[in-house]
Amino acid sequence: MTRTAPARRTLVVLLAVAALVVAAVRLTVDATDRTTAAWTADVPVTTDVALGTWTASVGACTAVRAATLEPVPGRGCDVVDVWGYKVEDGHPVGSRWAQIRIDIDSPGGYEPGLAFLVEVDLSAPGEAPADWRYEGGWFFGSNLLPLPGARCADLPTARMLFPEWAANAGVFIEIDLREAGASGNQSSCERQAGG
Amino acid sequence: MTRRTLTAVVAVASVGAVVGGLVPGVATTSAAWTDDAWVTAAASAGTVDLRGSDDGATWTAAGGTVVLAPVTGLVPGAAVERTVHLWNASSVPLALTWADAPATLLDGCVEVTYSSLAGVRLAADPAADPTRPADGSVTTATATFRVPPGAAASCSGRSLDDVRVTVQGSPA
Repeated sequence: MTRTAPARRTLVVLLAVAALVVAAVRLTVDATDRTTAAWTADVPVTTDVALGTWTASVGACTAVRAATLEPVPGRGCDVVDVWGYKVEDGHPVGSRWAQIRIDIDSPGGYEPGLAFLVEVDLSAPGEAPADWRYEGGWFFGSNLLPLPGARCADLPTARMLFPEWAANAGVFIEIDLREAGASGNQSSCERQAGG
Repeated sequence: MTRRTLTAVVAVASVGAVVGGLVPGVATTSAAWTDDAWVTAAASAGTVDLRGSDDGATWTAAGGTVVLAPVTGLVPGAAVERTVHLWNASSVPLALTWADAPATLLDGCVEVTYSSLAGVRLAADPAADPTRPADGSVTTATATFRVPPGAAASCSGRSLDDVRVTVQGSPA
């Protein structure tokens, strides 16, 4: 079959139009892609960061009136360190005892009738043997003030009442921590019956 | 099809292919259009210009860095917030995102959280009068720095200069 001249011209025109449409679509896609990819603006922001200083929390301390245990407003107090953990040699597991030292700090100088209510987790310093048995144990500090309601059953958390002078620089309070089978009768916490 | 007609068809098709990037050589050139020549072409259609400020009054030049007040004295449990003001001086509306925004600093001693920019759309303000940004063309974004409670004492006293975050604007 032989095409006529008008038919050929129509074919040529159609091909030309198709080519131009393809070109136009391609240009549009290109422009959109490039615009999306690179049409951004950044605002860089900088600052310096500096942390304050602190010590790991090893306990809580509250300045109180020794006679009433009422908090003293405005008087700060911190447990600075629990240290010097020393297990006495020669005692079997379950009958051991250990010495522990505790530092506190309370700026403000001498104040009559002042005392410090201290609560520490004696296992927190990480110096106690992993197999230390707190159940049935107790603690005693010859310089501690009597503290009604301090229970030995709360170990390894120990609640103690420190005298006013314990806050002096370079001064620490030493306590003995004992397992249930250790010897001794004195205790700064209330032991359970038969304990 | 006569020789003359075939020639015409091939010629037209070739023009279309070249313009459309269908010829491999042209396609390669097109892909490399990511530098100055193309940026100029884009700029002729509109500008993207996001400015920053630490106080909402003095604005950076385009691309300039906003220097915020130092974050100091962070201790466990406390948080410090810093705010950057943003102004769309573009000829097109912008959407904002945080880019290059670290979640932690100093080996985890500091956590950083950012205000959400999702859905934020700043109106165009090509008048570029830094003293009177148009309504809807400005906003703020905040970064909050915090030392987590119980952070190790080894974090105490550490510092880091030139902490960088970036807010990015793109046509909305």
